[in-house]
Amino acid sequence: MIAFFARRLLQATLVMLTVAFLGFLLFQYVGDPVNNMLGSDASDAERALLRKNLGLDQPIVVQFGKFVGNAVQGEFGLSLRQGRQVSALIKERFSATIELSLVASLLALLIGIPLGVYTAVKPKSGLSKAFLTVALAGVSLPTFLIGILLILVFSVWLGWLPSYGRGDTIAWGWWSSGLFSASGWQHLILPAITLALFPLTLIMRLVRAEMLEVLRTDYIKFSRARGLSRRQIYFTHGLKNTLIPVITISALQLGSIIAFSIITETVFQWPGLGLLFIQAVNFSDIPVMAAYLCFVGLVFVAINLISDALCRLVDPRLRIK
Amino acid sequence: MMGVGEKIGKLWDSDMAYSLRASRLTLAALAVLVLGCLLAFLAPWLAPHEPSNLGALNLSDSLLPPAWMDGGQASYFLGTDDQGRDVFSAILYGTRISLIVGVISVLLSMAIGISLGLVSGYLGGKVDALIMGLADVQLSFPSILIALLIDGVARTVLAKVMHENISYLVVILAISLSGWVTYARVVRGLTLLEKNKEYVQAAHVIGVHPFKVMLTHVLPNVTGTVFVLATLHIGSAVMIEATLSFLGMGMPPSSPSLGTLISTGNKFLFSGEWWIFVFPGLVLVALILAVNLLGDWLRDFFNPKLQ
Repeated sequence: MIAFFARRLLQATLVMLTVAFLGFLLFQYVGDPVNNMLGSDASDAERALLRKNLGLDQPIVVQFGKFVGNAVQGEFGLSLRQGRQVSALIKERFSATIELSLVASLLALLIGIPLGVYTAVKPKSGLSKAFLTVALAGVSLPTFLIGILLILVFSVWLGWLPSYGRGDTIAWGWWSSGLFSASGWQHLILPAITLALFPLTLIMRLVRAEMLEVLRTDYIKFSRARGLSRRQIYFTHGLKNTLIPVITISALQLGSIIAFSIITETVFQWPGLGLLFIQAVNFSDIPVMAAYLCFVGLVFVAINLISDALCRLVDPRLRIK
Repeated sequence: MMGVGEKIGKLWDSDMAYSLRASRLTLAALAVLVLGCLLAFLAPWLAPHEPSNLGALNLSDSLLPPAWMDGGQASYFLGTDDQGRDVFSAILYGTRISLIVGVISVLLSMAIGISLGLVSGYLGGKVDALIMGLADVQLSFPSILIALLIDGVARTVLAKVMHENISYLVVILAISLSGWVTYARVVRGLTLLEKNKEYVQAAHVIGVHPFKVMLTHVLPNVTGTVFVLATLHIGSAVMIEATLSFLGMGMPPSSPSLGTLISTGNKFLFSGEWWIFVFPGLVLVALILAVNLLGDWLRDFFNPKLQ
């Protein structure tokens, strides 16, 4: 296990360095790094001092080293658009995106897995066909379209739920949570459903395909012959064996949820990192873009590492290697 | 030699055509797709107006409802947007752009993926490790994010005016660079398999370059898988392009794709001018749905476990 961890950690570090390098290129060469750090209002003396400190005349490796050093401490300079510290901006919005992403992932898993099992176990029932149609819709409707349609139905026509913003939040230090107020939940539902639909569909289809395969195997037929209860067959034996691809894909889906949150946050004006990123791109706010890139890279690498470790834990066959 | 009639008869009786005919849903999907392609192709002749010609737009005709409602005009069949653009013509040209960008992105993606896969599998060693390492890194990022980043950087690097003119190319590049990995892996797998076979070594002895041999023998074997991947990829590419355009980072309003139109429509949806959003939205969904259904049918057809 330790050797596996060491190897994967090394791989992960390499990936992070690559991502950091891309962020570095963006930061140093696409914009003006002095501008990025100090904003456009700084005096000439401040700029000269920073230029010397940054060592812009030194070899790329040294500059990259300084960038990584700064990045690890969360120092990405000032946002060109807002003139504030990038790290402060990220801190403010981090909790919004994470809450939305986690709720959406939970929704996708809690609805997707049971639906997948059901459609595999009873493929001919009308309910199964209905679920599969919903699945097709989920894959074919772009996320922004789903969001707008939900707003149209539930906010404009029915007036049940609000259409933008986050509602009342409670703050603990720099983490603000909307989960503890009714208005927070009301604001959370529509974006969470929008975000969850695509991964839900994928998980449902995956679980269904895997279950169909498992149900054809000999040991399932034998367990039926032995007279095990249906719940034992389907869940204890059947579902467990479908878990590995489901875990891998679900972990990757969490990553993709964080990416798709860019779209959902734009449609619902949810004050998260995704909205920050889009605003940054529209304004050519390089420091924020570089920071987002590094941050998202870190999240994905971490997710992949954890999902790999989980797979090895669940499937003993993978541990032999 | 067979006549044309005989060839068509043979095609009609083939396994693939039979399977296609057997499922009415897939046939409907194919029909929708063919219709969409035809409309897109004939757009310059079919469209009653020219939506991208800013000089021809009449601002006094803006925000007109569809022709069958009060206040609508017959010449603007599906209504107009806030700039006086005819929604019907905009949809025709938009479908054209969406389809062209989608198909070319997938073709480019295939080209990059297949070549890198062949090179990686054949050369092995460090080159293989490098390319597959790159693929692994890219695979951990969702393609929409990669496309967004490439597009975002391009906007920053290029001046705004120049960017609008080449936004086609930037979007195509972004989408193709985000999707090559699956093709590369499939081709690399097969290349590794074929590399050690005797006929490759035999060809080497004769003097034929082994690379050419692999090209002639590996490529035909991947056709089925690649075809399925490509069809599903077209649906995904159209969706990514629409998303990019909706976010304001894809096709600009001067040559709008369906995503850009939906983005404009979104601004007016809640003040009552629903037609600018609904009609492009319906067309986009119909296209993606059709491509996905076709891709699903293809995948089931080529799946050895179901035969």
